[in-house]
Amino acid sequence: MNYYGLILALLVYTSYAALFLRLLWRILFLLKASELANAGNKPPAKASAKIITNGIFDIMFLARLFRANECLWLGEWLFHITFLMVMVRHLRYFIEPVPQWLVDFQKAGIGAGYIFLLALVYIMAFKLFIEKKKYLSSYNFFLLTLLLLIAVSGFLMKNFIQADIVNVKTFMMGVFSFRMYQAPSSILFSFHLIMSLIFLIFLPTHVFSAPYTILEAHKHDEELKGLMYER
Amino acid sequence: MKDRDSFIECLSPKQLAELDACTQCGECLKYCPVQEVTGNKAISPPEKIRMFREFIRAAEGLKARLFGSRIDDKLLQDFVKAVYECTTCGACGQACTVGIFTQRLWPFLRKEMVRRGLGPIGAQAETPDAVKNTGNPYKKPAEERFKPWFPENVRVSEKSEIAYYAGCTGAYEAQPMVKGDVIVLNAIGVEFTMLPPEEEVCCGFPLFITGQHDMLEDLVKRLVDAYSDRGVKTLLCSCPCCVNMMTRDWPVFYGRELPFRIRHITQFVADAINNGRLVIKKKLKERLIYHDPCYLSRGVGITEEPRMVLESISGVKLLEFDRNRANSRCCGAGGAARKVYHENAVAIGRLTIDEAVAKKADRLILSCPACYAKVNEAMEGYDKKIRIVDIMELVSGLIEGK
Repeated sequence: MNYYGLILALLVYTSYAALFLRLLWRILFLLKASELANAGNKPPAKASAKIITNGIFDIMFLARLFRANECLWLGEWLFHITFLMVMVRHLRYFIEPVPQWLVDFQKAGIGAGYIFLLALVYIMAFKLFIEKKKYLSSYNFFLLTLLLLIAVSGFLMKNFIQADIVNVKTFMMGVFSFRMYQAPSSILFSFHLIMSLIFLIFLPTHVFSAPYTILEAHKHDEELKGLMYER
Repeated sequence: MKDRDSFIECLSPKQLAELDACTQCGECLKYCPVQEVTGNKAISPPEKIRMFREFIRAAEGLKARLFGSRIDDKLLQDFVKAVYECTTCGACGQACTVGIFTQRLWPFLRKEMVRRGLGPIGAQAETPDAVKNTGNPYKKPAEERFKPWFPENVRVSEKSEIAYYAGCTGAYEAQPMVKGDVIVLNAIGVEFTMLPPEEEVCCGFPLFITGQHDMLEDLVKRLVDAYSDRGVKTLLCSCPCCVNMMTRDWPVFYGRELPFRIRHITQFVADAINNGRLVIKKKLKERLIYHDPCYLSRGVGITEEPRMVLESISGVKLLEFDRNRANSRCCGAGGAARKVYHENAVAIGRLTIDEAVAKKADRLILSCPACYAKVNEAMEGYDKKIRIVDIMELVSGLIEGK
């Protein structure tokens, strides 16, 4: 184990700890908020099976975004779905032995990686050049840039400047089992890992809250149908 | 014990999740009426949410807990301007890609600003005193509430299962509208009651929408108990803001379910037409265009009954705005912003006039007193002209044979 590997391992632990603390803080914050009796706010309504089904469909296919902006939806949906696939593909670096389904999934995961990169470029270009007059969030651009850097470095490693896969897996499994091994010498791998860790620290929490609000919106829509017609 | 530093005391956990869920995609800007006339992104929905997140982080974040909170005063001022310049029409929420119920969120963010002594702004601050002293936000005497417009031939019962609430804006600023309401109710032949002018006080909406909630419980209890004492089972009203307040907020401030149901006047009239109790015999060979008020369509989901009433008039060709029903565009009068940002309100109102004129409508049909007052005002000194009529004003004219 060299110092370089130790630094990388510490970065991994630090970023995971930061994410954990951030999420824990947010949960405690929401618990505190739920204890406050906010006069003027009704308790939330219950969700029927139909609302939950429609809500899940809406979340999976980003249906509200589709209704708002079909062109952006195409990029965003591809980005979200391929991001998930790429994450699943990367599980092979953390599991030994690799289950057969994950081996079988590698081809689809690699394909998803290319679409992921294209989707990011599409979203970035769409926001910068086609919808430039619209509201632009610097935080969103920061995240998009990070993801682009992660995707490009991954693409380069896959096709042009390969890292020693066995070394990468040994190192990563070592980090997660608190056993230190020699870090891969690939600069591209280090860059890919560090960008991913930065992304982890800044992970947008809407990935957790937006599905909830989409479900609540379905409840609201259903409530609206009967609001003036009950009794 | 209220925590002065906290920014979350006025918000529900759902609203906190909504603040967190905004992806800052900016899709809502395409539908924001204030954006349409100002183009100022600093007062846009995602920017308001971004600023409020900053306040929460500065007051509740780990750093704040360890080293104390520090709120940027300039950012607070910017936020107050942004949240009060909004018309609270909720079009942003309708287009929201993660389903944030903004028509509900903005008033509660305003409430937080009131709690901190930063809101309301301008003339809005006079509303509590005006309501306390006169029973209405316009500082008009109670004796003038019904007298100038109430038809002599319409009889009001002392007690009835059906009551009619005229509302302050209708009674003082859109009198042809409320006059039309009672004429139509009379023509249906329904027995209805009304509170005396000194008892029919503000429904609370202008206070609610500007974040001034202190008087609401008292106002709501007075009104609900007064209607309850008269044996009311159905309360009718034509003002969408009042209807929204009664349906969504009266039960909360009353502390339990209301002892009567709330109905918009068009629901009642559409029923009367359907079951033959009201027949509009006179023809009207005109092209009418109906504007959906934000608090009627997005607020309480009433979109079809006004159209049913208009389509029941023989000879009418009903046109639609490009944005209609739940997607309708604000008239500019919403959110009490018209009291402070008058120029915005007029400019937004003119967008509705422009489209109605472009579609070659003979009349623009409204069903909200605030829209009625503001769109009429927007037409003053404007080169484009169209006849503006309230829906019940139109119906009452046709059944009276004028």
